Amino acid sequence: MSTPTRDAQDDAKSATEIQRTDDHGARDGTEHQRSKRSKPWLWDDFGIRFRWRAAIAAVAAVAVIAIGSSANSHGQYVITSVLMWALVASCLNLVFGLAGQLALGQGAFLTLGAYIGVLGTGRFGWNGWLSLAVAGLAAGVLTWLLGAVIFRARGLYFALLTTGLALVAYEVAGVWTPVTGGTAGISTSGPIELGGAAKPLTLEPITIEEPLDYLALGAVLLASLCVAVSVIRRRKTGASWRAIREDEVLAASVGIAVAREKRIAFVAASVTVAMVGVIFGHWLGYILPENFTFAGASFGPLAMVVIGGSGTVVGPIIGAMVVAGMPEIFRDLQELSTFAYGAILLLVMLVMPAGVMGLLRTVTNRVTGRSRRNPQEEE
Amino acid sequence: MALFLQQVVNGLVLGGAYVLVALGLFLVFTALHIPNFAHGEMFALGAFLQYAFVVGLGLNFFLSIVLSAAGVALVGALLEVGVFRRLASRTLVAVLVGSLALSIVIQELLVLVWGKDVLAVPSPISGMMSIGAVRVTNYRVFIIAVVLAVSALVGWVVYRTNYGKQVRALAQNREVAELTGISVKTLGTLTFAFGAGVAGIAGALLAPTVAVESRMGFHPTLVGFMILVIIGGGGRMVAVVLGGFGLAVIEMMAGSYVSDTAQGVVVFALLVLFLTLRPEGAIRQRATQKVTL
Repeated sequence: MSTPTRDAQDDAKSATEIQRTDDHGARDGTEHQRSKRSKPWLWDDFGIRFRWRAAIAAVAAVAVIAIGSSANSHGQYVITSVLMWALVASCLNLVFGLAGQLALGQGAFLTLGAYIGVLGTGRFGWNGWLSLAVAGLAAGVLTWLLGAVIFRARGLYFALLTTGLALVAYEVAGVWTPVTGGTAGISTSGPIELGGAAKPLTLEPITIEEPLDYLALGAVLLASLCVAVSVIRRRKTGASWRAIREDEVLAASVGIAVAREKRIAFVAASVTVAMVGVIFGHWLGYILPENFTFAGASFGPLAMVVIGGSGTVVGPIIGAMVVAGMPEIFRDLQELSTFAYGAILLLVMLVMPAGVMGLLRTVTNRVTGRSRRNPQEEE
Repeated sequence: MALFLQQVVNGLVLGGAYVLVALGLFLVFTALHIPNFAHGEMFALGAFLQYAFVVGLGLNFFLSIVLSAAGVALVGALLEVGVFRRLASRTLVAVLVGSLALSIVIQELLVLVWGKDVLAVPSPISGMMSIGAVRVTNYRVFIIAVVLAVSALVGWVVYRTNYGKQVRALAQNREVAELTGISVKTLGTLTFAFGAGVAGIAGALLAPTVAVESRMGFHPTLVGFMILVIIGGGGRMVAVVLGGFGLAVIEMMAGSYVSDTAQGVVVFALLVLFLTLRPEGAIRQRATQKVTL
């Protein structure tokens, strides 16, 4: 961040370079003339090789599931909640961390997805795949249309516009009583009056019902999403997004379709977050507008991304552990947990604006005494 | 018709808070280019200090307004030196997230000191007056008068004093202002304190008419930003005053003619609609980017 213009040039350059290497199909090839690193089986020009990234993600997912299955029910709840928020934060990371657009409206699409999911199962008896498809499609169409006009507002104005979206979604959830159940909420077993136990999420051939199922689903999805993000970051799309983040004008000057790329990032983040919303709603089983306040559902994920390190793959997960795990750390001091959250966030912004991952990178670079030519953030 | 006029008057009282909060926000944003999302907390702090002085210490209400405003201005100055000076040297993201984090911290501190319950501050002026079919308490008339007086004072300071000249120079071009020998740092602290103090007056003044609780600053802040967005570039301070009163009246109308719940959503819906249709503000910006006083 110290020299934005240089970074932007690097990103813009790597965007064009990736396109060239892509054309030759040499991206995953073994021979790289420029590669002087000692372990070509572990690293290629774009960081750790894909098969190792996938392996790390798989091992991490299995480890989380193993820890979860041995934990008590409260422990499982905490882990699942961290996983869910990490998913939301990772989706936000696409548009905010990579493309640099200050989207504060993620809560709106999380709300949309959660209500579609809960209504789909509870009222219409849809199976999980259909709910996911409808939620994703609804968010996609909505953001694609919005994307045509929303990016006319930039910087602060864009942040305000998306804030407005999140607040409108929250108000609508509370006011549109016939559909959303109003402030009383709605459950996966249909309208509250009918009662009944929460219905499971049926993703043929599996059925997600027990708390541990949601934990496993969350872990697997998060691992896949991380691998997907790490792939996007290394491809032309991701490099273009980062170029836009650093300097829009410069990005446009090297031939990046700025408007189109921003729209794609925005749509990708919203569609994925709406699908996470479906699972999130089912996991809660009973949703209220209060689950989707601006502070919790829109600003919270942004805080996670910023605390962990925006634009990195692991950053949002670290952030989710800090933010969603905070009430656990301060369990004895309930009233202090929000204060600590605000204080930590403020401290991060003042002391380490690149987040935990940025701090780690600075420390690693100082210890190993090297500064990489083309910094690719850690896995 | 009576209801309509009554709602206009109610809107004007509510608008008083919006105008004073937005004036400080506008000043800080135009002069220092800091979008301070914790500005509403200065409003809340003003109301809490007023409670402490009037109910806790039993001081005179009008003296307390001055004391509260001074206290909030001091806090504003400290925040500028301790927090915003560092944040502003970074990116927009840092300022935005940092100031939202700061607003959480201040809200929680208010809860720690004064508790979660809604506090009530007694009104110093009793009685009502009738203007045609409209009935309004004397204190509310007093609020509107004070808001107009403070707005005029702010306008006088910005457009007629030496300090105001420096602020306007800073707003137009920071580097050139620095070259002419203006101490940008001192001016920044002063401006921040000034903006916070004006919001503090609003909090103290409106304390008897609103529910005093830690989250009371959030909505006025958003309305303040809405006003900033609407007037966009090339706007003058008169536009902030008109915009504040106008939005409050619209909000009140939505509350009484559409539904109570619509009152909360109408401003945000307007914000989204407005930014979508006219992201450059109501007045087409003459300068390329910067908003100037």
